[in-house]
Amino acid sequence: MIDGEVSELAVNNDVLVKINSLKKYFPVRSGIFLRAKKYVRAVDNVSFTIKKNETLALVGESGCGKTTIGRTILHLLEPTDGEVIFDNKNLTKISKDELKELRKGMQIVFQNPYTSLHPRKLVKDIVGEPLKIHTDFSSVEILRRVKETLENVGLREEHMYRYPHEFSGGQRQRIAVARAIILRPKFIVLDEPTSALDVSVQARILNLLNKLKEELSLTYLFITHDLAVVDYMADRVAVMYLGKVVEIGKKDDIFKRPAHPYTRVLEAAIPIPDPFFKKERILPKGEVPNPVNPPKGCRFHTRCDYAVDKCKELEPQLEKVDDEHYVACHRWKEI
Amino acid sequence: MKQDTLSMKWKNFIESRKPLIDDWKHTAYLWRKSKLTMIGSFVVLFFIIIAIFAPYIAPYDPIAQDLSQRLQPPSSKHLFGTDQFGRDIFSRVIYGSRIAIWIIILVSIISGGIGTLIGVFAGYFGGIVDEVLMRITDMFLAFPSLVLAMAFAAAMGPSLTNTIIAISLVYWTVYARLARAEALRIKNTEYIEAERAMGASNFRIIFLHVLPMCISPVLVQLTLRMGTIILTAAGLGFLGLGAQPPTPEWGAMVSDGRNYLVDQWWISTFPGIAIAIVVLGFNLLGDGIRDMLDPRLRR
Amino acid sequence: MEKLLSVRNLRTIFHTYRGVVKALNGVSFDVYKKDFLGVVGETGCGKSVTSLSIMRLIEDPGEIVDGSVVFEGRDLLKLSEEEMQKVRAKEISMIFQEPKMALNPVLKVGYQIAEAVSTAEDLPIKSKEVQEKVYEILKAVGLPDPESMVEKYPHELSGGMAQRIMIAMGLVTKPKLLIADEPTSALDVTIQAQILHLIKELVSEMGTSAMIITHNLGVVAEYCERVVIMYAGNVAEIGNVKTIFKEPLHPYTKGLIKAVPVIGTKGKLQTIRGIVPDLVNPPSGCRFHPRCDHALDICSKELPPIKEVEPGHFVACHLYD
Repeated sequence: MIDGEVSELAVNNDVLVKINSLKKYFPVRSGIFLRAKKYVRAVDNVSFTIKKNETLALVGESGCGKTTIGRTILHLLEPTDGEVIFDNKNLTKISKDELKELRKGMQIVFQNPYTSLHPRKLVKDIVGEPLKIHTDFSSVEILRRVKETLENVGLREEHMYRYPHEFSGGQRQRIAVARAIILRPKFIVLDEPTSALDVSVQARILNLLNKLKEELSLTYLFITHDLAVVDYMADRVAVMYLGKVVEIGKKDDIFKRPAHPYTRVLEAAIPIPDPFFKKERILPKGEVPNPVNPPKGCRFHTRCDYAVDKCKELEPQLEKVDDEHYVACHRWKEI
Repeated sequence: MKQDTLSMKWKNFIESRKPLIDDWKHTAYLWRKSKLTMIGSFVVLFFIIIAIFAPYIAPYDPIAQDLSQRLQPPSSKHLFGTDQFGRDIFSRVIYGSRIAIWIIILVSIISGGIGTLIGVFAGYFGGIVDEVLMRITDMFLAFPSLVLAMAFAAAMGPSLTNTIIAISLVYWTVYARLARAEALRIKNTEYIEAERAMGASNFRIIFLHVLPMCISPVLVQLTLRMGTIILTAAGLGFLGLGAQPPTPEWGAMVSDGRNYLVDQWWISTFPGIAIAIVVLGFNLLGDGIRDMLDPRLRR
Repeated sequence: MEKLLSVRNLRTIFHTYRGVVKALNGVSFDVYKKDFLGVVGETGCGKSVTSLSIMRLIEDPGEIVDGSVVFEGRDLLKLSEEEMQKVRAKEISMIFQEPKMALNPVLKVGYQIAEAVSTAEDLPIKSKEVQEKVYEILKAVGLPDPESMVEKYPHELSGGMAQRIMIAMGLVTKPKLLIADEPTSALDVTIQAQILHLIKELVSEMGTSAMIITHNLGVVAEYCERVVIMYAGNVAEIGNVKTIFKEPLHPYTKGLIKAVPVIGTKGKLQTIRGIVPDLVNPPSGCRFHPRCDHALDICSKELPPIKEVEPGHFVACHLYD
């Protein structure tokens, strides 16, 4: 057994993606000689798994590191430390060619469909691009598959010969989804796929994503800040705050029995489009601290109503609350 | 059946070009709205036509000397008069346009090409590649461009080819900086990130996705700079470092007339006017093109 | 309830290369005294253009072509620019989505607030009264340590703090109406909750009316009392928030409410077919009819007028003729 395979043994067959103590630090350049002195700890020691055929939602406010995790799993960003295991292969330890091969199995859909499609390419070229990179299909075959995939996402053949700027936001996001599924991947990172869209369009994209997940047995990492969307899409939820996962668990556990004070604050802060909905009135205090200098101890203690001295000194680790429900808080039992 | 697929293909082709055609229509509309751009375009068009049809327009051979006709003032026989060797200045100005256009085309291709490639590589790869390429660019930018071109021309010996090389070596830096800035921007867009997520190689990303997006700003800058190129070429010619006699190069012609400026003003004046008009034309056109491509004006 | 602002038949167009964009197609609604009104709709429905038209901030190539905006008995559209300037300085305030873009980057925030006070009250900017008002409002918007806050430049502020400063500037003159155009769309959810609470609290304390422009139905449901629903340059429905969410009448309102996931939604989300129309060539008659499941023959021919179906509940739809 070579080194890279040791962790594979530990991997359960149900698991598609596993990240182990993943860290991603970005240097902050300062001073005359631009020497990196400080780091933004965008992702700081995060571990979790994504099972085959499930949707794991990653929730948090801007700057909590959720987008960075998505990019690091796909190896668009090199992790500072830790490992990413995809389909039983350790991405941090494989060759460039192997990585290219694995990329067929994992794709991404970005937040903004106005910037994620090449503005000067026709739709057929945008959607067909993955085939051109990974296969040696003839142009006729590529066209046939592009057409088929476009129909899959609810677009028509005649859309192939148009430029992205002729489409509405929702249609563009369909094109981006078509590009992501044309190679029949196993895993797709959805990075806020609907937050740039209007609500009536959002609903259609969410329904499309759920339909495709069924049809193509996909696994999603759904990154978002909208808890209502999470509830509609996800099987499990991970809540992030300042580079850390503070709580992870099944959707119902997170929504009905949130254990971490931050999860509660977040749930209370989201405006619910239902004037008859009675919910806990917690007004969040303070602002998100600068991730270059995160607070010592529990990172949330500066904004937490339950913080005690221990929280200011000692960093809490994820503890088991329940089956598959973990929380990183010293006082979760008491509150 | 075959007819059918052919007409289908044709239909698809037209369909696929429709946005492009609409875009052109819009450009034409903006062009018609700007009088100065129209004037600039007509000047440049006129200049190009003259260069193409020079042999049919010019009444005399531009380099044939006729000492009996020396220093004639403008007349119906010699529209712009003659110089100290009796050459017809009108014919020389007409033929001079060919030299000017030749310089513009070659300088644009060479400096535009080198500059864009270097800029795109520097911007895309960043880090050490960027540092090295950009410090070289800075070195070139540290000298006044005409002085640098003079130094090159003097070192390589005065000739038209060397003039072109000298000007190109000075001007590529402008396009390198421009292309680098553009590549830096494009590199960080999500569609390039999507491309990397698909597993595309750097080579594919640069040549199929980044480079085509850098070309249009470079083209605008090239048009804006064409006037300056003519001026630099004329400057070198004037200093005797450019095209050599008897080549009818405008700058050299102005220089030829220096000694006769008081009594035979026409020798320097007409090529000088030609330079001024063409430079003005290119500048108006360049400004117009920049405005037309300005996204704020386009919608 | 007493009316503060009456918008009637407001039409605003934009001249573009593609043709005339009919952004507002006869918008009518009222804002009452001490009202907390939400204006909601999707991109391009004209909600922001409405607020800019009320403030007369529509610039070339835009143009207000018809209608009236009656504010306390005066038609704002007929005032001279000078008089309108006074209204903007003292009576109607506006805050925007990007607070940092609305602040002058080279002036200290204290000075910017003081300037707003001194223009509105006609007091010298250095006077003691102005200083006191600045400190007072900074405390009111929940910014601790106003003495050091006034010395700060906008780039030193976080998005939430900058929006608090904007609210301070908007409310320091004690206006009669506060228009907030997507005040929290650029902010994080926890900060959004803080800011909306703050606006609501201050506005009710001062007896000011507020008009919140948003695309977020959650914000409307949680914070507003009344709501105006807009679609493609028209008002679709106006009413009390609870009534509208419980018994929406307009097919568009119905579709919109069902399309938003709520915690606990089961099954597929409902959607509205078709896409938002191009306002250069909007559909004839009711602009929603091509997407409407209940469209009648008349819908493609005549624009439905807005009418009161029960007290305080207005709808513009032929189904309720």
